[in-house]
Amino acid sequence: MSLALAVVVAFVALAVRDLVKDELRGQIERVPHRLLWLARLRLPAELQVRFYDGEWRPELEHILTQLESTPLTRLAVGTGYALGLLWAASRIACEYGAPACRHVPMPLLLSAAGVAAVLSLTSGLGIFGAELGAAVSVLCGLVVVVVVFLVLETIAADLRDTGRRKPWA
Amino acid sequence: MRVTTAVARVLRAFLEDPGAPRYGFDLMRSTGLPSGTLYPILARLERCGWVVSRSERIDPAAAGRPPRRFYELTEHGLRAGRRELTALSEELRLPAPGRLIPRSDPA
Repeated sequence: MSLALAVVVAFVALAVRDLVKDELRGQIERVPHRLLWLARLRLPAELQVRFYDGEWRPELEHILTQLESTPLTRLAVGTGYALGLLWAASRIACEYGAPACRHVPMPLLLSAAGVAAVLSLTSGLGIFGAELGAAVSVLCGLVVVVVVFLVLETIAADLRDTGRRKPWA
Repeated sequence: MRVTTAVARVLRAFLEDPGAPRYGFDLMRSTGLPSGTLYPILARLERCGWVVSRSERIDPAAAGRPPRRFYELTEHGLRAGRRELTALSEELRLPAPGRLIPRSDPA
């Protein structure tokens, strides 16, 4: 009885392992597409088709499918390609006169939020002293609130786009 | 149009074969510039009329991929690119050989 149970458990464990492996692989392969989608959201609506659909996505497809290299290298190159565009999307929009050039780059904001969180934590531990600690906490709190607001704004823009089929779906 | 070293590298890649269409990723490889640097430069060159971009004419179903976008130098871009690269090259030219020897310390 216990042997039969062990065999069943082993089969189930193998099946689950394969499922988890496939799931992880699928999710990792979508990372460049998702980053590129975020870059698209940083463009004004009138430039999204021209750049995202007309140029960036075909180039990413080319990198991920046609580049003569190993799958891991293709994934790394594709992720680098998408990250670069996520960083530069507002500057490209600026070249075409879009008001997006006034926006601070999202990676910079996220870095600022990380630094603010660490400073806030160290201040909470009493490293800066009472008065300076309070000032650092207030300042960092403001930074985190602004970043959270901008991230939520991006997510809201993504949700407004739900009617549009995403390339990795 | 301000020609920085990165812009000069892009112009040089175009001038290697002025009539050839160039794709974004191919330009990244030939210039060594990352996408975050290259694409804003291409946008600036296009806005100034030095390059034009077009969509590749393929049947996506037959090719099994979406059409890519390629860039070509315009006549104006060809002339301006050559002029700017020549000027930059003159500016960065090594001084005459005699001037390369360090002067002896007068003290």
